[in-house]
Amino acid sequence: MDRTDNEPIPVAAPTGGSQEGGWPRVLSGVRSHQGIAVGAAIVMAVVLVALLAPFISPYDPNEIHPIDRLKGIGTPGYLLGTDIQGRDMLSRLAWGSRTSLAIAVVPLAIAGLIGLLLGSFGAYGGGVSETLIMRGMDVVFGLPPILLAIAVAATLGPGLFNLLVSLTIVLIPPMTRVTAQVVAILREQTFVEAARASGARDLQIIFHHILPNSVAPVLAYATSLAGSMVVFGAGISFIGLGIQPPRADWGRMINDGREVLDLMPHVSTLPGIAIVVLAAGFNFLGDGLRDLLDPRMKV
Amino acid sequence: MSIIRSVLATALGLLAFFSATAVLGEARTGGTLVVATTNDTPDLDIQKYISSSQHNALMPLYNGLVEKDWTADEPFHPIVPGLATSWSVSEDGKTYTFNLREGVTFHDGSPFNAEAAHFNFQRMTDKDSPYYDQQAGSTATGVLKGLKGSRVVDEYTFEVELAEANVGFIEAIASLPNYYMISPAAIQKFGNEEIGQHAVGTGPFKLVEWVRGQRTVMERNEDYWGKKPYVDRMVYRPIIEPAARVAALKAGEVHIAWDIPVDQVEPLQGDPRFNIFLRGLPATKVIECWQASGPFSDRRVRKAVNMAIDRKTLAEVILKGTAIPATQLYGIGSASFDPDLPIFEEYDPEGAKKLLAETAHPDGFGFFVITSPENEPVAGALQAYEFVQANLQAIGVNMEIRVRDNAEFGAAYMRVKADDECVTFDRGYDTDFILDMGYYGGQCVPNGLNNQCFQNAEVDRLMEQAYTASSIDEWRDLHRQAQQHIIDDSGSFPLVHGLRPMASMKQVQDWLPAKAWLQFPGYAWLAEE
Amino acid sequence: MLRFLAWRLLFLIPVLLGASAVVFTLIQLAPGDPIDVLMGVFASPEAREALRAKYGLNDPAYVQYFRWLWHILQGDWGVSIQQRRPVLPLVMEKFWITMLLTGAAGLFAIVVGVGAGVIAAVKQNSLTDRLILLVSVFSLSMPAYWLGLVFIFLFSVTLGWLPTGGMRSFMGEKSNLDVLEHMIMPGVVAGLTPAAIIARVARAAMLEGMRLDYMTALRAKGLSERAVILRHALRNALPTIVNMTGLQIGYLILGAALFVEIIFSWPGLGYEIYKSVIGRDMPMMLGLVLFSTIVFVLLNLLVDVLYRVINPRVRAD
Repeated sequence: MDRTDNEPIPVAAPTGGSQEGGWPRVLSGVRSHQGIAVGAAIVMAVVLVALLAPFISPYDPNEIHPIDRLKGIGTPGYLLGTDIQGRDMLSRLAWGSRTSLAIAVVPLAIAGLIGLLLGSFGAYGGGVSETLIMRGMDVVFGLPPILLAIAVAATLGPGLFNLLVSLTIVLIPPMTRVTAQVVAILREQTFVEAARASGARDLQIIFHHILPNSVAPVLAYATSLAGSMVVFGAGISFIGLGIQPPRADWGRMINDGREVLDLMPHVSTLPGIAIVVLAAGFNFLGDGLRDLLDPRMKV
Repeated sequence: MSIIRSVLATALGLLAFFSATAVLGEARTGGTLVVATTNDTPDLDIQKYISSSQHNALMPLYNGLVEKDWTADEPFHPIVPGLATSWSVSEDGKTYTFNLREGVTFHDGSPFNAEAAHFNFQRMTDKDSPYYDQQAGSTATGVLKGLKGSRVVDEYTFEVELAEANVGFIEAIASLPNYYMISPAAIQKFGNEEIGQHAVGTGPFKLVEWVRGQRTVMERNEDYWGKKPYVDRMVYRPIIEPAARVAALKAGEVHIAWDIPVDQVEPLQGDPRFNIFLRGLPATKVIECWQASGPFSDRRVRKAVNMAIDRKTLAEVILKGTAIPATQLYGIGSASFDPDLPIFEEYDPEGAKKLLAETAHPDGFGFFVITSPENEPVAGALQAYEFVQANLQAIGVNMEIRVRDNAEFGAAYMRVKADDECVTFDRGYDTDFILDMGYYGGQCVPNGLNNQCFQNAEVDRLMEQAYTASSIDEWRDLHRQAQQHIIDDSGSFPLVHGLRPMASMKQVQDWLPAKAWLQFPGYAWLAEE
Repeated sequence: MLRFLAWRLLFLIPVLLGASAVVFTLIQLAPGDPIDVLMGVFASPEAREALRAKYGLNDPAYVQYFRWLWHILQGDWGVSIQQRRPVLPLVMEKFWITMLLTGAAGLFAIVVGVGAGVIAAVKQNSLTDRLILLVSVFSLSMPAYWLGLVFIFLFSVTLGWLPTGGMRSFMGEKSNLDVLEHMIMPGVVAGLTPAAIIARVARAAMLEGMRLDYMTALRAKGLSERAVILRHALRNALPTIVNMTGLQIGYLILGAALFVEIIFSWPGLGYEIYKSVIGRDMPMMLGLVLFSTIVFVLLNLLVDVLYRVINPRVRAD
């Protein structure tokens, strides 16, 4: 197998060792379950915060209180202080979790679907069609993802929707490659051979056997990329090409607090910690899931 | 009142100045002055661009025929002789004669004389000259529409011809360094393109090294014709991020940092290691919207929007006193700035709602503004817009902020806009011809610079009258009248006049930031540490 | 091996064509144009048109693209619209600046990553191992742009140990290690993620190597544990580690270091890409993409060759 076929996506933080065996591969199942538990707990907690944002936010996240600018943590009325506009940090962090989750989930889901289809059709046939799709991916998406994201932002304009579009484009090639690798293993499995022997047509085999069995490992791989997406997406917003003001977003919030980092560190630090925690949650979860579900790990 | 105030201020300033000098004694020669600037220049050809970031980077290296004294502590910076010692204008106002300074040489040793001045003006105006440069030309004539040509009278007498009289001519060429002089020998040697990699002027500093985006290293020009700098070397270090500029200052890496973030001003004022200056900037932060059609074509809508903006809180709380509430279109440091004007519009959200109810948009409406951070080094821009956004929300007007890059901002500025399209930036230049550029009815975009397509017959009439004014004072007076009509017409949404916070280490002596986009810190000196 | 090399180099051509076409299309579609950025609002419409004509910006997009392609085939990289200088030397200049940062980051990533990975493998399932795992996951999850800000605040502004950014200092005594001092913080910040990844890969590869039967045999022969680990297990894990390290360094050059370059005012390729998109400087943009893609592919190739040379299993087939 060509080494480059399974490269991690070169954005902020490619998760290593997909093919050579990541961390959990050689570990006992105990640890991967631990990882899943920790990761799932963190991610669920953030999802809960996102769902409950309207209820746990003391204020509208965009509501400015000019008199109460830059209040510290623990100020009466503002549990986590306020930012440069006097907006409540707690409310902004809570609402900001929604954009971060959207960035982590939506592009991966869409790119995952596209990748599943392209990858399974491409790889099932093997030979020419596989080469064609894989090399096509390389040609069209031979660009550094960061460059692609910047160029897309310049073309479509910044904003949440366009950020999701550009991240989706960035993710299609790795998702396709991974699906293709999974399918390459699946198509040699006995149940596929059996189906083929019983006269099932290729399309039937793809939809009844290949696709359903690819979903779990591809999902696991996608989860392991979600953490990088959180970091990368917030970074695009940090340099001003992502989420637009006043919408709450953790990357933007870091930038908002940049000029007062030494005076009022909480403005930048809290969203920074939020990003690290959510990304770590996804990374724990992804590591664990891949260990359990990815057949490439068990070859 | 204002005169008394300024006299008092000057007297106090002088007193402080003399007592400080008395304690410190003679200005010390030597050392390297390191300045964290806001931006860098794309190349070294001072005639090709008209942005202050480019001119700032190059001004220490070049001279103009006439200049402004950017170090003067006065309400606005006076015009002073540069490479011309005196000048006069003909009866019809179309010919300006300059008596040139003798014995001046460029950094490459070639002499400055009428031939050299003529060569430079040919580069900008004479399409048949082998060294005509299209970009320099369009920049020069874009600002001074009537610039026609030049003529050598004798070795040290030089004439510039205008197609029509323009009392603002001297003001313009003194304020805009794209009319500064480059060595003809150097242009001939390197050509119009390659000259952009070499800076050969007559200025108080000579270029040692320029690495784009990283550093401009300059050394004192020992043969300078005017006042020589005290420091041996001056280094410009462009740092685009305001937070990073302050960090560099606090870490002791630079002596001077331009454009300090608003929230850093107070702490720096309390820090014994630094001096903070809040001088002013001849520009006004404005939101400019399309007025030829759509909601903003209705004066009542514009007035309601103006009434909904809480300029006082914006200036004092959000921008922490680094700006004052807008009273007019001109900014502080502009010769036309009138300190006695009242606030542009009193904050009255209830009144605004009532007024809006009379219009076609009783329940409010939505619009968007395009802003570019690269365009606004002035502190706290985005905070200001987000505050205004919340202000307008209160009267049901929904303002969407679109942060875009400079390319997109420029395209938006220059185009015929949609009904709900606005741009926002700091309007104003170091010279006060902003009204003609932005408010003359016949100059709507895309063919002119009236990017709101503001229309007011009385304003047009006053401006036309000003073209034939006999003196710059009369010109200014007519423009002030025109401005009053624009104010009454709610012709724009001015927010604040920025004070442009700048900081230096205490070690830096005799430095006062200019109330201008252009800055020249080259005459500061460094006390012993 | 030669066939492999030739095949890979041949494949470079469609990759470059694809990458340049995508970038060209995107920037072509972006609102605003380089002339507006260059000339500001004062220039007359005629002057704008004239300059557009000079750079051929009025021709249909496909004509512009194929003209660029034609020139590239003749070795002419064009002239940067913003900087008015030939593209190739500008790109080279930026490349070496980025290589400095990449070198610092790579060094950090290799030393820390391999070190942590080996220690974790040797002390498998111990507290140390778990701690390293934890740190590696958090390092992977760390936004470089945020960590950079915190580092500047901590190590420059507060402690005054290291410069805030840029490549050179201009005040006071200049040490001979001036540039080196400027490389430390950006290097560590840019190297953190690669270090975490290398650590994970190194640990896994080491464990695999250590479980092999002949290790047990070596131990039985009385070789010290230290020798077994360093001389044999690490030797076995090396191809995998080299492989991943190469990839990581490639990504740094390709722009993963962009955030770090912005935070630390490090004037490298990533920053230049950002600025040329902002300025709609098409020739510069295409030059940067072309160059960094070539470097990336060549680096990959080098890693693959190295992989084949040091890995007997691959060489066999």
